[in-house]
Amino acid sequence: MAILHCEIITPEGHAFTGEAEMVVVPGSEGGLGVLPRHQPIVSRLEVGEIRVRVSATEWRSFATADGYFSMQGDKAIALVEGAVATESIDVAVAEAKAVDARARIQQSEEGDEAVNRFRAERDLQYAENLLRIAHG
Amino acid sequence: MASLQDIRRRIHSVKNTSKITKAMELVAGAKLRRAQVRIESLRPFANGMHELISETASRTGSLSGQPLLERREIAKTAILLMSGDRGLAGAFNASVLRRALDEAAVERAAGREIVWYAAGRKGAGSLRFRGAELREVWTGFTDRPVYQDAEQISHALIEHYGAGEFDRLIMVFNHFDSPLVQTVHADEILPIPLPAAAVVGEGKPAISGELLFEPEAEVMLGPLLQTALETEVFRALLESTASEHGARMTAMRSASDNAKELIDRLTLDMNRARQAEITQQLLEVVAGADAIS
Repeated sequence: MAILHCEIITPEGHAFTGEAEMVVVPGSEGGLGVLPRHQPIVSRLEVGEIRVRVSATEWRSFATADGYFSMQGDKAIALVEGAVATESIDVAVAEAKAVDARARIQQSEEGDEAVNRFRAERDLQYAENLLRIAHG
Repeated sequence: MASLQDIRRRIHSVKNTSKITKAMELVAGAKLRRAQVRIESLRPFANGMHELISETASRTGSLSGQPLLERREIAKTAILLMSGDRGLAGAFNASVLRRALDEAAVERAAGREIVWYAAGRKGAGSLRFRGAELREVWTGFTDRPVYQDAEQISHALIEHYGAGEFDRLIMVFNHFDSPLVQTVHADEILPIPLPAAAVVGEGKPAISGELLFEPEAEVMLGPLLQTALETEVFRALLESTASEHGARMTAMRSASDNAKELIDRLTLDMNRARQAEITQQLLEVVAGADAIS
């Protein structure tokens, strides 16, 4: 069976490099499942989950921030702003981050100008994504 | 000459200081290594973005709809000054500030207004002290910046740029060459300089079949350019952080060396003083004995 060479790249380095039979990414126009010999495609990715089938029985999963996906030849490359392997998500930390972000949004709504609203909303979005994926 | 007691006290205090500078040197060294690794780690992402933008731009019919690429008449120049949150790092904060002020002087001479931005507490403080009004300041992360810090900065810059608050943005930061050498760079990052490879409409044929864009290339280019700016800012933040730790390590090393030299000199003084005291006492004893006999 043909295989894909898959890379998940973040600003902090590679989150995953290896061979895969299939890659499922959260495209902005809808979920995208890519098999070897897929038509060359470039897609935007939303905050969500990237799943990589490394063998018939084994899937690897990552909670990812938004980014881009490109599939050309046998290379599937996801450039994302952040990626955490699902098994290494720390639920307690993610929950604490979500609580902190909600508190900052609350402060901002009460007119506290020292709070960066954009950042708080982004932090909440990432934390909620981690929790959603960790809880399956 | 200072008394024995005084010299002892000074030696003690210099020794204490050198313990602190030694510790700071070690901490900065460890942080520097980590920061260097992070600069390396960014490279695949930055290269990937670069390729993707070239690819997308080359398949776009026209770039005229992209505000981040558009070159406008320059009436207002923004300067983003990247410094550290803390001092005691040699010339690190001072050199980047000097360069930013030089750039500002050049722009003013050309009749342009300056809009100031600062990342890092030290630079922000120095600018305020000089009476500059800061449009926005970001602090609290220069020790270990994360991508979201760059995203937050870029988001504000893009918003202000879009609203016409400035027409050009220069980012002034310390570029990390080696632990001993940091050079100040002043890069124009807005409007975004397109990679030379990205020639509009000259797309090379995709490897097999037509290359599909979701959403289409023209729409995709907007967010891609935003991410490119974020990546650029993040890279500068990492460079600046590595430079800060490198500069601090070097500064603390020379402070420790100075302390060692000072201690040696003071020890010599102390021994001399002690010798003089003993000689004095001997003379007194001999003189006393002479007087009795």
